[in-house]
Amino acid sequence: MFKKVKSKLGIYMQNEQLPLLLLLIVLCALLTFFTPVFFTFDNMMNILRAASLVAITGVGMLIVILVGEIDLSVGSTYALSGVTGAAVLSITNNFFLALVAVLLLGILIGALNAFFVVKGKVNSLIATMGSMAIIRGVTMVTTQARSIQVTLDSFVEFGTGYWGPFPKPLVIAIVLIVLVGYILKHTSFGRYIYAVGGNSNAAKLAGIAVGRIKFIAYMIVGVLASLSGFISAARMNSGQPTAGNGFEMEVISAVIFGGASLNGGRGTLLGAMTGVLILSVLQNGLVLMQIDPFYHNIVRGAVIIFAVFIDERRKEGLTKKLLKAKSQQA
Amino acid sequence: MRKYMKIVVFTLLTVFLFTSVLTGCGQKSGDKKTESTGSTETSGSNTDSADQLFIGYVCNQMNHEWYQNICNGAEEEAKRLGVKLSIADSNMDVTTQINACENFIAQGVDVLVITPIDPKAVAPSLKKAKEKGIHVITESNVVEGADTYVGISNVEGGKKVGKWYAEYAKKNNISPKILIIGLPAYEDCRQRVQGFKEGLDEAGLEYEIVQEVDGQGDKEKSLVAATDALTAHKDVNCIFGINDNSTTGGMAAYKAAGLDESKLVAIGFGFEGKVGQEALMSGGPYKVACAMFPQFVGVGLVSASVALANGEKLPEHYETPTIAMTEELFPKYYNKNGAEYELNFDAVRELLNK
Repeated sequence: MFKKVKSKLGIYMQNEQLPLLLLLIVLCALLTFFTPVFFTFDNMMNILRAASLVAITGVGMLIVILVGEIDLSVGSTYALSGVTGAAVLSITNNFFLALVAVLLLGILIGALNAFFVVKGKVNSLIATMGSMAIIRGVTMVTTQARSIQVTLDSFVEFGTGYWGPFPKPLVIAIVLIVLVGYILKHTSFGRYIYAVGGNSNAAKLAGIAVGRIKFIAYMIVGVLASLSGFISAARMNSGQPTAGNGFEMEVISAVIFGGASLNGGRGTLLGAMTGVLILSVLQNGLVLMQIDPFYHNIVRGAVIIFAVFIDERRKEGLTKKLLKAKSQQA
Repeated sequence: MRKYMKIVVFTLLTVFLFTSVLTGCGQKSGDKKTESTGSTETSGSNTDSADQLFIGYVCNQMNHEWYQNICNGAEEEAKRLGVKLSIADSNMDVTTQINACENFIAQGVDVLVITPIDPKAVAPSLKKAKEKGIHVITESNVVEGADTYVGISNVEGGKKVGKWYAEYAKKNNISPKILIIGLPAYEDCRQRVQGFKEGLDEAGLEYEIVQEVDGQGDKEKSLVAATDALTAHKDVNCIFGINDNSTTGGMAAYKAAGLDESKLVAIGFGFEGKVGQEALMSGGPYKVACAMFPQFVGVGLVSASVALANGEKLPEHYETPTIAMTEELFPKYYNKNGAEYELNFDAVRELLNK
């Protein structure tokens, strides 16, 4: 009986997301104990609404990281999309047009990034660091660093409204997660993404159009960063040129925290989204517990290092076990 | 290759189109262009003469509306007084700032004005300027060895809005539950909160500060922090923000939480641009702001420079005016010009003379 339970536990322990899910549960339990208001429906919705912006871009970032690249320009894209959406809205008063313009902008930024990385063979860290600065610069020059106010109700509703009891940004994030989750797991495109990141030469020899996959990955992260920026502008009723400062780090750290490898080819959507949730819960909990803001970064950094440390030890243990089993077989 | 070229050409064209649209929208006619790098020059006369006073101003961050307004005010005053003013931007980089100081010293300015990013880092450059007989004025921060510091008093400004709110709360029988959206990493912002509390205390108001959060001076981050705080404290009926973005971010969180906005009093600080002006004039919860008149800080920088050059001895703190700006007072200090509000310099000058 004991052996059976142990072997079942072993199977679960091999699940990559388990330590993170456990951490999330422990964190929620602790916060519920310390601040009763934490585990209320309203607060859960607050956390999920705040997390949904990071989650939407995080879905795209995971794909780019899976193909073995990175995109540092998402924060700037987020800001430019917010002000572009607000500008188009203040001129046309047409919500649909603004949304289309913003999504198109995201695709174009993604295509530009991809062009320099894929065709120009510039290291993606450098290429997107450059585009991050250029896009932020364009945002500042075009707005003269001033926010663009919007008074259209349907716009504000998009960021702050509800579909049933759920905030709209959350529903959008869930739909995207389900869609991309399906694509990654059950389509050949999903398998190509893992193959390209795992070993790009082998993928090329197997006949996969590596360049095209990377192009699409960048366009996906571009359009999703734009969508997040547009939703954020809707929440604030204005396009803020300084929005999304440090957003790229928030997204990348959540995805990496969720178990994705910066070398590409390894990582899961569930893991990335758990990473996003843990960081959002932590942020919310620290405010609710009235912890001095100066400590927030320390706690955040410590939790990330601790979780990744535990995860690495677990993987090391698993590899050793696997090697031992193999040598015994031999 | 042709496949990629098509994408690039299409992308460039569309980005150009977007930029044009945005430029058309963001750049109102009559707006003054400010440079985010390099320097701009204003001169009171057509030709520079050897005896014309030369002021070099090293700004810390010209992409911020507050500093753009300071520069505009300084340029106007330089023109009015016929002095030469050159402005360099540091783009929040200490090394760039030190280089800009060294450049101005080498150019032989008469007065070096600086908004220090890090007072300790620029102290040696300012000492060097003093050794060469250049007058030194600082804005925002006090730096040892400078002739004077031009700027508002954050504590006094905070007190003014604190007292205003105390009177308002007493008159309307409000039992204040206050949420403060601060930026505790900066001394100036801590002083604003301190002044606000002192104002409430001096007016003898009984109040409760339910929570202080860090909004980092940014609307989005203030919105997120205030949303969390309001979940725990739904009885908040006053929000004090250390700048207009913090306050309006808090207001957006209050509205999104479905709380009754008619019960809220939002208090801002800075009132430097459209965000605060529109919030105040909309008749919503934004009832009062400590107006700091950044253009007048710019005017103060130039007039203090002229006074120093004329051999006058200035106080350690050359204070520029602040008031608790309300919807009723607004028309006295601002004139509407199209979609923009223009500062009535004469009305602010009156404050200075009081």
